[in-house]
Amino acid sequence: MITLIYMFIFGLVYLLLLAVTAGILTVVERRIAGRMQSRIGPNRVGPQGAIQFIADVVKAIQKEDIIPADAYGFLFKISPYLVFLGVFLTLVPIPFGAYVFMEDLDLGIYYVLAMASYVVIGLMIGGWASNNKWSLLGGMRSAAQKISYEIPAALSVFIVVVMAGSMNFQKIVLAQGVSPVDWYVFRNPFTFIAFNLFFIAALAEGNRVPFDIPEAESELVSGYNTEYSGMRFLFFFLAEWGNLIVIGALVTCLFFGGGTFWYEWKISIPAPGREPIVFEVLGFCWFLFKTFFFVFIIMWIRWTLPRLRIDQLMDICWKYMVPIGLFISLGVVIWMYFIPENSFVDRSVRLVMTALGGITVLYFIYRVYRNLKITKAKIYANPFV
Amino acid sequence: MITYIKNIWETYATVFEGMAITFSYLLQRPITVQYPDRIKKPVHETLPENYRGRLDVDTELCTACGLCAKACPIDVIEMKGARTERKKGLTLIYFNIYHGKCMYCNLCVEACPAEEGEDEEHHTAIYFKKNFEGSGYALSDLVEQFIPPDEARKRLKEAEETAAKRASRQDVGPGASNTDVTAGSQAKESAEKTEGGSA
Repeated sequence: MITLIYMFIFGLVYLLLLAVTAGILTVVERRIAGRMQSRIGPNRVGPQGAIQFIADVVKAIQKEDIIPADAYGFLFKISPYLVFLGVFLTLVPIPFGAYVFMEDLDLGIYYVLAMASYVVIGLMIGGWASNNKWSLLGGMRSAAQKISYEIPAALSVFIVVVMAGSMNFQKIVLAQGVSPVDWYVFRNPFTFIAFNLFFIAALAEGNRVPFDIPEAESELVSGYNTEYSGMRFLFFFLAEWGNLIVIGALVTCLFFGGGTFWYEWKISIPAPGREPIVFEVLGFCWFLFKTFFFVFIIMWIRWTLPRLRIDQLMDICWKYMVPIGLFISLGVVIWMYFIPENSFVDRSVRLVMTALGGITVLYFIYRVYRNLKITKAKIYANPFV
Repeated sequence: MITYIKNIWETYATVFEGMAITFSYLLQRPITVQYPDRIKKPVHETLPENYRGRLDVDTELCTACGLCAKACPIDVIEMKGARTERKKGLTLIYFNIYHGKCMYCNLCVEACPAEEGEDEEHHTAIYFKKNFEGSGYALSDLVEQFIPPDEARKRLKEAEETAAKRASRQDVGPGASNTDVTAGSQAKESAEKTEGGSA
């Protein structure tokens, strides 16, 4: 009984944390979008617009809950919750810290992929139950996209699983280390390609630009959610922004060493008194920092790139990502067979990869500097205006 | 195969360049002016010197000659001047401006003969303010009465008394004429009618 109560309480805490974080991310995204377009963004509600999302939610709650006359009422009502639940459940095995997770599943990644496809059911139900042919088409469109991009995502996850020898998130994080040299991105060329594939596929699965065909807000006026209004509509969006956190956390776990802080993240089973709590908290913060860095990159991509056409979308998936995924999943196995871990070749490849990554970042900074110089603009790094 | 690899390379190169451009914008100051409440100095101080905002009248300076109303091509100004015992010359009885009609052509300001020194804020009695914020809740908010209605009624009464006095004094003398100046829509209409009649 007490276990049940604990489960309920922790579930509620996670749910509230996800909802509030997703809400804050909407404000952050709008501020970043504003700055990238030389405007300011919401800065009136609360200090610097920090509680704008509360105003949005209050407004959405006040709206009438419209259900079309011919809609299939029950399915129409539960569809947003299914979508949100699908996103929320993917958070279960993600290790935010050495001890901060809901359940340490041995089939962690497998479970996450399964839950990601579970979202498709919610979208399809939403599109179908609206009894509107455009909503139905939108639902089909998003289902086609999500199911297509699950394959490259799964292939790239397969590489990480092969490298770590486990599907357990804790073990995957343990197999990586503190420094960038130990991370899976820079482990060998195949894992680097796997990271690219996974990131692109995750963007597509999370309906983010440049793959936001399911809800092309700029010209198609949404797909599966056209008939939704008020709070139910907001649930779809909550799921979308919750998905950002999930994508960021997954990328961090799989390729960027998780929350491994400068001390070794040794064991996933709580052993009281082993480490000072400060280190756990710092590791948790480090994990969150990495997660939100990737969330920022996703937002940044959204406000940089235009959307792909549906044929381009399918081209990228089936002509580029799937063959490359198959190629690298073969390649990584061969690599692991011929080059044992921690051998001289392995270490030097890691170092070279990390150095190349660093050079790319430096070149990027140089390009930013040049763009600033061309426009003759003064640097104004203060995020508040 | 070459185009295949070239496509991938171009995708990455262009995305890289595009993201560098958007990031450079992230480091620049937004050009948004947070009008009206979060600006460093009031808007009218940032406007150019000869900006034409709403029309305004210096009722102290105005000689009630009516030239502005006659110059106005669309009857924005409705005014009347008459002799009272208040001051020498004509006194303004009423002076209404229909801001909704005004097209900011400056003809009234050019016509105005009442001039002040060059150093003053405005050289003429009728002039354009820099204020452009004139929205109101009713159409009547766009009619500005520079002589308040009560005052205008009082002045009209005085003018009538004066006119009656002068009429009784000058009944016998020559040169008795109507010195009142009435301009504006009604006055113009009547003038047009008489002109048309004479033609």
